[in-house]
Parts: sequence; structure tokens; C-alpha cells
Amino acid sequence: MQADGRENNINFDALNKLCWALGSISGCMSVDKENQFLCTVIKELLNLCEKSTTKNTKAQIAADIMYVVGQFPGFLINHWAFLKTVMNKLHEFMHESHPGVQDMASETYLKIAKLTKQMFVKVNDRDGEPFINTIIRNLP
Amino acid sequence: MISEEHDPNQQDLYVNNLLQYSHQDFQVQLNNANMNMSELFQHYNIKAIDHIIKINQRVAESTGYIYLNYLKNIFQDLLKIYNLYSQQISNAVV
Repeated sequence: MQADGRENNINFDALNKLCWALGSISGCMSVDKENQFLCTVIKELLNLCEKSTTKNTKAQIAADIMYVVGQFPGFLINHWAFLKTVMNKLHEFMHESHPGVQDMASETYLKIAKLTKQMFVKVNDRDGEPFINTIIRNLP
Repeated sequence: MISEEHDPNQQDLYVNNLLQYSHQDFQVQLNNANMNMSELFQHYNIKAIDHIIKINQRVAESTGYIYLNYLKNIFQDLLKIYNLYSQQISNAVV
């Protein structure tokens, strides 16, 4: 995963397979180890995304990040700020016209919403109101 | 998400807020139809009503019985529209 960020050095076939494998071991570790593992994976993927220059590359890495994140609902439930960021980002991706991004964003949004739905109807941290109100207010 | 809420009043509020834009469109279609019935049979209006019904169907599928209170508000109007379209199809076939 630690490629130097040049698009032609990234083997997307291998990266997709790696992300699928990373996502498939959800629930196999203790909560602490899983938190640490996921943080490292997300950090590396974000670094890779940051170093990429083309929209296509960024879109593919973003799809991998969203897939991995969606495989770890337990982590999302325990980290509300991160979950909120992911949902906001997916909402943003839904308006992106790059081919495939809207489909990926909608599917992941639905998947995460189904797995962590209880988080959206309660008041979390210092939000002051359930996040579902914000989602409804931001409807296009 | 809405089905995770346990307070029935809050559930209704969420459903009403969620469907507010679709409801506004539906009211516009009904008002137009009240002024001129033939408006309902225009291609773009048929598409708009189809879209509104599809939105309602998706919400009903995911929220389940919570959707019932909202359905009560639009049921009579929906029934009239179905009746009109059904008659129109029968007339076209004959």
C-alpha cells in the first residue's frame, strides 16, 4: 500500500483485492487491535489518495476507503465524529459527476446507515440534536 | 434510521419532514388537476406523479408501519388519481 503516489505505480487490481481482504477480517481482532488496525489502514489509504493527482485515481482510492470503512460498523459506532465525517463525505460524493462515484456513494451510504442506524436518532456528543435532522435538512 | 426512533410523534415528524418536498410537489399536481383535469394526462405530469409515488414506495418499504400515518393523509387523493388513470387506460384500450 505504501506506494509513492505516482498513478502508474499503483496496481489498482491489487489494491482493490487488498482492501477487500482488509474488510473481510472485520470482527476477527479485539476492539483495541481492530481500532489500531483500521486507523493505520485508513491513514495509509488517505495518504495514497492525497498523493494521487488524477480524479480517476482519487475516485478509486476513495471507493476502497469507503468499502473498508463500511466493513467495520463497530468502529463507526464507537467513533461518532468519524462516522459523521464519513456520512458527510458520502453525501458530498453523491453530487460528484465522475462515473461510478455516485453509485459507490449511494450504496455505501445505505450500507452504513443500515448497520449504524441507531446512531442517527440519538443526540451524540455536543450536536444538540439527532443527526437525522441534519440529513433531512440537507435533502436536495 | 427512522424505524430506530421509539417515540411515535418523533417518527411521524421525521417521515413528514423527509417527504415534505415530495408532498409539496404532490399538492402542486393536485391543484393543477383541480383547475384543469387534462393537466394530469400530460406526459411530464405523469412522470412527476410516477416519481412522487416511487419516493413514497421507497419510504414505505424502509419505514414500515410508521409510514401509515402519512399514507392516511394522501390515500384518498392517491385513490382518485389511480381511478382516473385506470379509466383513461380502459378508454384507450376500448
